[in-house]
Amino acid sequence: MGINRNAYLRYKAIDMRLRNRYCSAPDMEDLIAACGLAIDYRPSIETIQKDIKLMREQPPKGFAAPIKFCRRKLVYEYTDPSYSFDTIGLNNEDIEGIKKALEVINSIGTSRVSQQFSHSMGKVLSAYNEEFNDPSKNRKIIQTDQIPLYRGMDHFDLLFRACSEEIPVSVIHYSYTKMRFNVTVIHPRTLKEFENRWYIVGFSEDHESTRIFGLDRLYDPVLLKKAFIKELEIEDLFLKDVYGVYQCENQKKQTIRIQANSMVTNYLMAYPLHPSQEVLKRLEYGNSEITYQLIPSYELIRLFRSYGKDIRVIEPQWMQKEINQ
Amino acid sequence: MAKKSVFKKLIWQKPAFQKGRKNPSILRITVRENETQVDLGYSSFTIYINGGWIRIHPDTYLEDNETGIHYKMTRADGIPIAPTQLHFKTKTDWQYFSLFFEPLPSKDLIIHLIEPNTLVPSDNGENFDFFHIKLNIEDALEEY
Repeated sequence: MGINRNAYLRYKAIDMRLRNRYCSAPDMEDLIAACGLAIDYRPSIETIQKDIKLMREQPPKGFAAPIKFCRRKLVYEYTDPSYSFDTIGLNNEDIEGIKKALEVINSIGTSRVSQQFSHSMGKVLSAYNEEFNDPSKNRKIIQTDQIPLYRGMDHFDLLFRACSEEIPVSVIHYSYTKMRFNVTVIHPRTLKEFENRWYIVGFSEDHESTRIFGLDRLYDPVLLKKAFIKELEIEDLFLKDVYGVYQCENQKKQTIRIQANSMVTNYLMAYPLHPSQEVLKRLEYGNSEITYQLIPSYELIRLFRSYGKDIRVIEPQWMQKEINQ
Repeated sequence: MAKKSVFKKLIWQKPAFQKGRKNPSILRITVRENETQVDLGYSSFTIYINGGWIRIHPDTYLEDNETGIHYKMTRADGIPIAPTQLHFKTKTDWQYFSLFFEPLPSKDLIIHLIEPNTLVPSDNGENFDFFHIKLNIEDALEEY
């Protein structure tokens, strides 16, 4: 049976509280408080009662926890003091789930994210191979894009930390278009991947606005002791309402309407470009009119161009002209 | 007991200077307790065949404008030390590099970055020199 992360944290918290020999046996209020600390909000009495019931169930449904309620003292306790939730093994479904997840990670390749992730997953995967290696299944089932090591990947761990702890970073940036170096302080919030390339989104002091920077163009990031600046609404524009990375200058979110032939329509219906994609009309021979609510981006224009005559932009007019050039 | 003072690692981005080259551009100076790091960015010149080459003189130093004290270069990262050269492949290549020097004192300073001109005659006028670089403590950022 699958359990969600919060439920698991509650079970762990209940177990730890029941095994804590330095405190008296817990009552319901103590268990709620312990779980509240673990999951950052206060669970209800009913939730804890259900948790205890499930923990008492025999595997594979539960964890065979010997929890007894003492009616005299109104407290909970383990009847077997040697019992621990930590010693519970994974059931077959859990193991199969983990094996599948590891196969996916193994196929994707751990090096595409960060060195730290690669190192940690390397340990897990070698343990997995030792435990479950089946020579008859050496064939790779999943094939994904394999990207070689890329420039800037070594900054991933530092930038991840900067995003998660909201620490400004001094970075050197080389612009491929302007062909010159610059240095700025970025207040990074999000790491974004698009077409196997990694970008960082955050407020740039030099530009006095939220910007996106390719990791491949950044050199020598240094964490700074400085107040953090964030522009949450503008950040959303970089992450939600755009296909790709680089927005066309001075363009706002707008309706983009295209006509696609039947072949491209089939592709777009199977793999929508964006959650805002809407098929307005399907015509007799399978061709269609499709709309998007997006901030136009260079990647979107490049994609439309790549379809040649199979896609025709109807609006906006400027994009129609740009693509027909 | 006297309280041990904590050395703040200070960073100047695009420090102002009076006279010097635009290419390489002086991007950042970091003053740490044990060393001073100067980060520079160079874009290859179109006048040279395949963008030319770069290198740094081993006796390059920082000089305190007020006291005349020299702070020697201890190492370089991203640029070879002369006579070795880094040859560019095209006229549009670029190179980010850092020069490391003996530590500067943590106070307001005006410094010069001097690359001596003693290797070969062809080095004449091509040195990576910057004069009167202003490092005011109040303009500095602090490393985390």
